[in-house]
Formats: sequence, structure tokens, C-alpha cells
Amino acid sequence: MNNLSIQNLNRLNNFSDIYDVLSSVVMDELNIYNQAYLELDQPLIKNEVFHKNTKYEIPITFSVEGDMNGQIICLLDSYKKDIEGPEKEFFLSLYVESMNILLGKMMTELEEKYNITALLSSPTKPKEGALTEFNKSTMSLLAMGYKLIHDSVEYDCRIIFKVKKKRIIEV
Amino acid sequence: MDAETNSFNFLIVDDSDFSRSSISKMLNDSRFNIVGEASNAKEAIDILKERSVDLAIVDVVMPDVSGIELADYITENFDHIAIIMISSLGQESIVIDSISAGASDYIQKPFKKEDLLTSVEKILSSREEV
Repeated sequence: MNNLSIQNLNRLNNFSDIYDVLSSVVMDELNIYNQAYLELDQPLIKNEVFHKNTKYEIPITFSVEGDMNGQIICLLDSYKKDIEGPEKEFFLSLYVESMNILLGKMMTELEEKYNITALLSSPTKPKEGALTEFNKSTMSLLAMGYKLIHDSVEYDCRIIFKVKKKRIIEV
Repeated sequence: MDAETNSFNFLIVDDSDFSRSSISKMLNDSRFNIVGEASNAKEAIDILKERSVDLAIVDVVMPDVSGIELADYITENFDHIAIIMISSLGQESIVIDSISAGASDYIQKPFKKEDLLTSVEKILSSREEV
């Protein structure tokens, strides 16, 4: 391991809590190509147990690798929302890309502010019961909420982090 | 460049339908001709083998083969094609890897139409000078 990597790991280790760094890069709002807007609805909070996703919540997951490892599950609540029909595929793609952009910007900000490198994977559909697995994890569990606004309709989104700092190697 | 239509041929590679659609709308100009859209590297390579492309707009994070690996392939096999990398991630290491793979520019999502057009115009004008 070179000196720079050790320096980065130590810098990361100096943070009292992963919550501190993540909460400082949460964005209040984001314009998605003038076709959708994300507005922070619930700031990042620490949590220990998450309620199971409902059948109306559309899940998408991302992996994070680097100085911070883990998974992020996003859930869009479609209860009483009309997202069927020909526009459904477009809307779902818009939702997934909106989450990708939001999380990508947060991970970028982590590097700019703290020199923490955390790379985001491409989105995938989570396995059945993934959120239940989150609840069993010993990693930090954090959650925040956004409103995704598209065509004057607001959709609630839960974004749940299961993350940990990379293990520090003693040298 | 297409001599008949006097337009430049573009390929858009992104695993997001929404992203491809947004970029395509931004490039709605008579000088720009979208000759293909691909959701992964394999589809992109198939298009590159069949059609003439001047500029490829490539997303960095894609399943299986990354955009940076695809940029490497394009640079090695189609060195006349200019590449613009796009991503929601803007970390320095990714930007450096993208430029090392042959990209002429790197734009972080979400970008404005003007940002994309400025990059495109800059790259195409430098090619016209050559």
C-alpha cells in the first residue's frame, strides 16, 4: 500500500461516524434534464430497522465500492399513482437514472470534500428480501427521503444505505 | 462526416433509456445525425462495425463492460471516432481513466444542453481543422 492510500484510509478513519460525511453531501434538490426534479423530503437519519417494502414500492439497488463499501436500495412508492400504459417504461427509466444521478453526485462530493473514493455500480434489481437482509446487517444503516416530481406528480422515494468504512490495515 | 448530408454521425451508448432519449433530444440539429443508440458495449460494437460514426457519447458505468473499456476498444479499432464520456460520477480517477482511454471530453450528469453542445462543437471543429 502506498503512502497516499494509507493517508486516505487514515483520513477516513478519523471521521467519528460515516453518517457525518454522508449527511454533509446530501443534496436539497436536483434538476434532472428539466424532465424531473428531486426534492429532499426527509434528511438523512440513522436507523436500525426498516419496514419491509410494500408491493407498491419499486426497488432498485446500487453497490458502492472503494473507501466506503456497501449497498443502496431505492424504493419509489407507486401507491395510487398511475404509471401504467405506454409511458411506464420511460418513467421507470427516468426514476432509475434520477437515483443514479443523485447518488453519483453524492459520491463525487465525498471525494471533493473528504478525499473519500466511493464508486457506484450500475443499477440492478434487488433480490427478494434484500431489505430484510439490510436489517440483519451490522453495517451502518441510514435512510433519507426524496420527492421525485415528474409531470406535476410527486412520487415518494426512500433511499436506504447499508455501508461501512473500508477496514483500516495497520502498517 | 456524411458528405451527402454534410452532417456528423453520432452514436449514443448508455444503459439508461431515459438518458439516451434526453441526449438524443439535445442533439436535435440538422448537422447532427444519430446513427445508433446502444444500451451496452456489445450493441455499440455491433453498430460501430456496420455504420459510419464520427462521435460516440459513452456512459462510464454500464453492466458487464464499462464505458472506459469500450472507449479503449474504440480508440484501438476506430481511431477516427471522437469520444465524449458521460457519467453521474465525477471522481478524478474516473476522469483520468476516461481521458487515458482516448476520450476527448468528460461531462458529469446531469448536464445542460449547452454543455453538451459546447463539447461537441469544440471536438468537431478541431477535427475539421485537421
